Amino acid sequence: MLIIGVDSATWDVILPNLDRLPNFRKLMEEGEYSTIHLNQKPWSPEVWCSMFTGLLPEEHGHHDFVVNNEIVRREDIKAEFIWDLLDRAGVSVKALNVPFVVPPYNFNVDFEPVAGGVPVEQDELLEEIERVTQKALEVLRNSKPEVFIVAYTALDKLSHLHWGEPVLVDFYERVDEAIGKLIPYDDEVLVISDHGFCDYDAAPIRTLPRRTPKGEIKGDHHPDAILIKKNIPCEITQPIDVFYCIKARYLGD
Amino acid sequence: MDAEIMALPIEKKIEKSKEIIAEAIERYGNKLVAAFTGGKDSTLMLWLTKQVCEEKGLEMPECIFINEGSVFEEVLDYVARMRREWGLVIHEVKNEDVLKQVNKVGDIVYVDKLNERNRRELERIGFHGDSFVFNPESFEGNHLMKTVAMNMFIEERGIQAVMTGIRWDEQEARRDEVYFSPRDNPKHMRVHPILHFTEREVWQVLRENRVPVNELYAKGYRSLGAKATTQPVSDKPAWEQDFDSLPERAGRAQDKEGIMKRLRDLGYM
Repeated sequence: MLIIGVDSATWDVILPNLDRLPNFRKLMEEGEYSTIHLNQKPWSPEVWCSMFTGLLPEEHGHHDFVVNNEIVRREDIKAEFIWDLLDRAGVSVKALNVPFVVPPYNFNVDFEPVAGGVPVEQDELLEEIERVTQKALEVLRNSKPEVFIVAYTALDKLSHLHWGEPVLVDFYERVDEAIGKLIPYDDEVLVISDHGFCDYDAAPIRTLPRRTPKGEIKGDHHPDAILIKKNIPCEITQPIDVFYCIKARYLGD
Repeated sequence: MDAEIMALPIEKKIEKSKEIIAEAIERYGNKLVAAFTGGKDSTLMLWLTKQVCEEKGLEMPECIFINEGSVFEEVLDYVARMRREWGLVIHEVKNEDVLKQVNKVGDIVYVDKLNERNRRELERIGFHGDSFVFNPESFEGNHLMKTVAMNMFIEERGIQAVMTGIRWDEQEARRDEVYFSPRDNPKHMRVHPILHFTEREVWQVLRENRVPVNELYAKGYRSLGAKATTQPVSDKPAWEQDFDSLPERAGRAQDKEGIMKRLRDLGYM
């Protein structure tokens, strides 16, 4: 099973631009797609953590990238992730660039984080897409595991600073190309975001102040995330369902 | 990189640098400028140049300071201080045409609003987009804000040589540089009098001779880039850091301070 996480991806950008996103379109046609209306706060560290632990934020206890002026590491989170379970059960599993912590987390993959783990500038975001894709292809070609999880964070930073601008669609195109390179390697594919995006003024929650040292924030998180699945029968309506879906497929109920 | 020269004792290295500076002044006279960044390397270069000029009764070459649009206040203060204390003539060079459109890193630069020179330069480096995000350390930004700004100064003033403080051991791309390196477009000579100094030796000379340095080094910065993208490497002063285990240009690497600053810049805390 190939799980591709796309931080911040939203139908609001994908659907009106499908003619420029052929791989999203292809997957949507070959599989099924839906919207995840988050019951939890659209906050990346919590949602990605829920997705791969099957626990709600109050259960996994991981709420932020930084707590008490210290960067939170995987070891600080007292929960078992799906890759821990699979690995222990002898199911081969790898995870690349999963952004519930900074730098994003890798499991059974050696990966030097892009821009120190927090890519922000456009050249760094492009570098992330390129290097993550390259590493993912290396994994898929040479040592493909039964479960491979790979995530891209670029759209989040870009959406905050450039929501509503043409450059955002350019970056969706880059992510679409990346997805196009990965999906031929697996029949069972899941593409999922941790939350959506919308105009800053329309956002139901504010994850960032309007003015930051990087400039004015134009967009913010929306609780509608995307889901596309191909050859995956389980029902996924919330992030935690991803954990149970993978678990059921490889470890049984 | 010449291993034999790198192995010289520090006194010999100082002598070697002074010879190169004296030769450059002799060859190019007032058509030589010294590029002063406010960083430790160009400070060492200027200090050595000052020694040469005092010893030989020569006029100190004029300096250029490239303002690429994201400069630490501490750097500007330091440049002003050196101008005052050492009586330097420092020309501030900037790409005004780009700066008309932006106030800060992250602002958008629209290509059709740029002048013809800048548009041509973007084409020359293979950039064909309609706009880009301003950042003096991106490929387009670096070219327009540093290279083009300096080239325009060279062309306008008929400058024949530019002296800079680059070093062989600073980064891979500089290992093959030579002391006198001719450049085209515009045609001029680059002079590199301190190529053979290591970071440790730069600090040794500056500290032993009580040369004033930028206060950012005391705060743990090792290498100064654009304000928006440079972080301190440690909480120790630069000259007390572990040169061997921490790379000089690690200000953007995955150290805690770096990550925290990046998150703060995004407003995350």
